[in-house]
Amino acid sequence: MAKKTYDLLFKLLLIGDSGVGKTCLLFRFSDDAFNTTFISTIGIDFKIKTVELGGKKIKLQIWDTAGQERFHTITTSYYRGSMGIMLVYDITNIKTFDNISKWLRNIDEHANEDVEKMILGNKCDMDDKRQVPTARGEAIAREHNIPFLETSAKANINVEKAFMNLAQAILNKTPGRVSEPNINIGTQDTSARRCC
Amino acid sequence: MFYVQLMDIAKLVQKTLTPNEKCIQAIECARILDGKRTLRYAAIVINKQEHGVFIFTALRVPCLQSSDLVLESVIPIDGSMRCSAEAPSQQTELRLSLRSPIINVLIEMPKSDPSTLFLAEIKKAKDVYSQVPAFGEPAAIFPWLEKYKRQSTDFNQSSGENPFAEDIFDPLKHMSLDGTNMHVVDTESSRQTTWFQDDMSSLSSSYEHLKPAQKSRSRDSLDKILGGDEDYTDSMETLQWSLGISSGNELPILGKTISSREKIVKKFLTDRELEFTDQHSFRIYCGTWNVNGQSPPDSLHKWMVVDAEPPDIYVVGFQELDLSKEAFIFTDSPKEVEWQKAVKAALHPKAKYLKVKSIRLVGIMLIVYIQAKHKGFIKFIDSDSVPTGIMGIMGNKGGVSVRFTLHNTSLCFVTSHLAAHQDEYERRNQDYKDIMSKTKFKDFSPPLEISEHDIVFWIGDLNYRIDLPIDTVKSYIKKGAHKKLILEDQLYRQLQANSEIFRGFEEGFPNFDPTYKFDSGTDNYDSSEKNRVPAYCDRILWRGPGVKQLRYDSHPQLKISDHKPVSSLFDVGIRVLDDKRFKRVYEDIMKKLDRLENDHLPQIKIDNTELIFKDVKFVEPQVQVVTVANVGQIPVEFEFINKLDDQTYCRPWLKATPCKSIIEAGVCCEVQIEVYVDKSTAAKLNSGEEKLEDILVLHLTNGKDSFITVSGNYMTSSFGSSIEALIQMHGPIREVPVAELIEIEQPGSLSRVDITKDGGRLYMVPKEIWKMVDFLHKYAMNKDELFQQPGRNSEIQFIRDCLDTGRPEHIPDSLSVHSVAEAFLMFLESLPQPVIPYEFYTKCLSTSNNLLLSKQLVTSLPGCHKNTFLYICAFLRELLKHSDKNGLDIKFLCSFFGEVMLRPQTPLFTTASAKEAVVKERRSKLREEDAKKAAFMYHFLSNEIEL
Ligand SMILES: Nc1nc2c(ncn2[C@@H]2O[C@H](COP(=O)(O)OP(=O)(O)O)[C@@H](O)[C@H]2O)c(=O)[nH]1
Ligand SMILES: [Mg+2]
Repeated sequence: MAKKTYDLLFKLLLIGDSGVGKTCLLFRFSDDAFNTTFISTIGIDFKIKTVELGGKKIKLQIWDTAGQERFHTITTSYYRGSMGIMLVYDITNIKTFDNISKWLRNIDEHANEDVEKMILGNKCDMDDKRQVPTARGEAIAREHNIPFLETSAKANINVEKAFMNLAQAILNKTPGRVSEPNINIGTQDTSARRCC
Repeated sequence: MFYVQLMDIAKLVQKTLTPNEKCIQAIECARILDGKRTLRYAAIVINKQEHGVFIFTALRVPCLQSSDLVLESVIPIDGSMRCSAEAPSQQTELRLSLRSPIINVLIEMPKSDPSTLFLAEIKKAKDVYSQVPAFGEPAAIFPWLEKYKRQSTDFNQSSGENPFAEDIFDPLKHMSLDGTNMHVVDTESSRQTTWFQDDMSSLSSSYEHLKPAQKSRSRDSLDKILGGDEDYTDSMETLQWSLGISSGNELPILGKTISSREKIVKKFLTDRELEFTDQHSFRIYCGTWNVNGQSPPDSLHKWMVVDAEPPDIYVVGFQELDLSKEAFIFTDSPKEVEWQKAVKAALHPKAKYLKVKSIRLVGIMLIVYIQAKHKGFIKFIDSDSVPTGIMGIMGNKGGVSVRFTLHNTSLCFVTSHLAAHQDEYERRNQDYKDIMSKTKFKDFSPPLEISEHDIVFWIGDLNYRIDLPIDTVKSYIKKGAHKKLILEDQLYRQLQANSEIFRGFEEGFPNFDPTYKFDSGTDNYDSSEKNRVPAYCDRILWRGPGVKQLRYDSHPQLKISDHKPVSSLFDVGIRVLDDKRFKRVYEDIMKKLDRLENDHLPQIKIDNTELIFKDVKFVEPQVQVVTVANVGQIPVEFEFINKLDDQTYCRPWLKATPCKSIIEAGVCCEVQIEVYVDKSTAAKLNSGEEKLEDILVLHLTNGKDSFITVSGNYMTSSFGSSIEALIQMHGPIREVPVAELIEIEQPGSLSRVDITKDGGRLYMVPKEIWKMVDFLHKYAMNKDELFQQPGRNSEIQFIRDCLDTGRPEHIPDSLSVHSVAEAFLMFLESLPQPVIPYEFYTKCLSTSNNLLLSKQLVTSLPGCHKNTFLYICAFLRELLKHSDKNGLDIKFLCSFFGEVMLRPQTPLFTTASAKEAVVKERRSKLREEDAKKAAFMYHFLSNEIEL
């Protein structure tokens, strides 16, 4: 219950093939709603959401990117400066999963070195149409040492958790307040101060 | 002041940074805070393209290692940073003010080269910031600076020192809100400020320590409450003040800008306060006594302990505490020490108390205690004093105040000593008004006033008198007819009349004898010559809801003064926050605000994000219109921005108009997207090196980016094809398969042609040139103004198609010679390599004054270029033979065709400013070069040259 509106601002980025549900995940998280009409994102959009973690108000600015192949080069320029990247595939579409390694390479090349990552297998509500076994998602995540979750923007499964976990990971890395006491120069070395 | 070697400091600073950050400059300076100058080091640090100014304090001077530097402030050089410098001519220092939404820093440095350089670097950094491509906005947040901000002492002090700054929400109903655009989220400031500090969090009372001791010196409070040490003197501080130095922990200048969002949060919370607070009853004791400069008696219990239950808060006011002359001059008063002790000793024995604050203005003193159990719920303690004595500045009269917030209720306590004498009630009224208007709690921004508190208690020697003859007064006193007395009391009458004096204040009925004026040590009213009329000088008033007076008494047993002390006990309703309910409301408000903020992000719709341009032809523009609709709630500013490392927002054959504009909410803007291939872009499209493909990035300020994909197919043209390729083409270019076209445009393709083979035949000169020259030779010999009159666009396009498709085979004689002449020039200008190839350009200029060398140069040209050059020269000589009819002269043709056939390679400019510089430089050379080009041509136009 700190008094500030927020203490920290985290910039997150959603990437992954077109149609995997990036925009829907963002919409679910920010507006707690789901929309079935598919309007492909042509560009870069963002929404904000204020959350509380570890007693801190954190403003998340979440960027949603166009997933189409032809925009890949352009969208990489938005990687810089993002503190967390959500890499999304569609469990009902093996191709989007196969592309994960390509997206990971993109991150390596263009994002900040210390960026926090997370892999999401979305649309887990459609188990009947599943093409990517959970184990495969877990395996690739383990291989790259990246947290993994299966989500559903539609059924609201793990969406909040995914974003909060990513934010928490960033927060964990954010250097805390230096705890050493303030040094009182005036009492220690007055000559240093009076020289000017 | 001495200045340490600057390089060394920069090196030390560098050691405090991470490897990808670089200190570009560091300088010794003085930071000015509260009028004091203290030694600092200022450094400019860069990370990629982002800059920040770091201010360090030094643990010792000179600094020998990086740990001697303590980071004090960090200011990102971003769009919100404001910087101004002044250099008064009579001074040897220049002053630099750096302002961010979070902090103001004022520094002084010597007028020296390093200082100038430092300023220049800041300016440069600002420029860089504004030029950095807008990608990533609105999150230009300098993430790398965050770790430093958290390290900096400014950050820690302003939010970390106040022990009460935690976890209690203060609705700050008194904070003035800009009611005007409450519903509009200020995206600008929320973008620029990456970590808001609550303005209140900086209200640490320790700020008090840094102010010069103009008023009371017995500031104590917070530290004491913290440490449980109630000794009211602070010898360390006193020592420092007397040495004229500050305690070193300067706090940032207050008065930060609060984001609108924060204001809205406060407003919403205030509106919903009842949802998450409950009213709890608190006992407040108020006591006031004019002690006439006397020392305290043995015990104050009779006055201060009025009930079996201990009050939660003690508010004790004194007047005429110290009547000595010294009290006016010196800040310390031995009387204060005595009375502080006496008050402390007389606190209710059944509870443990902590001092909140005490403040003294000469003889007027206010002491506030609170029960220790409430320690965690009191915050934003501040005080102020207003003198109203002689000339309005002397402290013999006036008022002192203490304010704080208890749970969720703001409380203000005032004790005052107003002007004396029976007839001076106007003067008293004026004193009241002055105290009311001049009391400012300056920890707040803007400063808080008495009237802005939920509940106010005003106690003191208000000095109002009873307007009755002395005998009447005394007889009423004898009869205990207090009511009759109070009816004629100057203050009571004004309160009844609802005048502007003490408006809104209430007072209980003083069912006790007037408390003034006694012969000291007795219960006898004034027996001196002055024979003063007894009066209710000493009063206790309150203002605000939920206050119930339990007692209102005087205490005649205490006789040391000519006044009797007065006391009152109150039951006060304090709004106490319910954590769970507060959290719920707070989260709800956050959600609403997030939605509000998201709704107020710029939103647009673009009707077409995939533009396809079919069959684009040389010099024939095609335009498509894209409608950008502002479907959001605020005006949007859009701009096409550069992508990746590009220097322009699109390819040179593409253009968007407007490329930048503002659209009002609900309004559409039509953007024309034009594809136009001209002589500068044709060659690469012909050779297949480039395609008609591009993506435009339409960026909204503080909002999203939209991509508009542009694609199309280009109709290859002889215009923009190389001489080498053209002489290999037997038919029109359109009949050449694309793959072959790309092949023959490759460098060295000529050498691969097998001329012995069928189809391996090469033309001497491009047949397109021949066709145009042939036409001009036939129809233009006797025409006026050749090469001077412009041609017709439609005809030029017709000629282009005729040459490119071979239909009709020859240029029809119906066309104007001027159109053909212009097409001819355009053709020469579009050649990827000019007739005299680039590599020969400088040589040409240097040989221009020598016929023989010029001839040798032409001989050395690649065959097809040589042929083309000589062919054109021959044609021009033909024209000159008819100069009597066509009016052409050799000088004109020399300089005109010199320009067309001799072209320097245009350098690839990385920035517009670089281009400007080159153009400028070239301009001076130009005349000289033009003359040389003409001279070169002259050799070949004046005579038929045998090579
Ligand atoms: N069943 C199901 N459909 C989803 C889910 N998330 C998104 N979709 C659908 O997948 C399509 C593409 O979603 P969108 O968010 O636009 O994908 P994007 O291109 O990655 O932004 C839309 O038709 C959505 O309705 C999900 O969790 N479950
Ligand atoms: Mg999308």
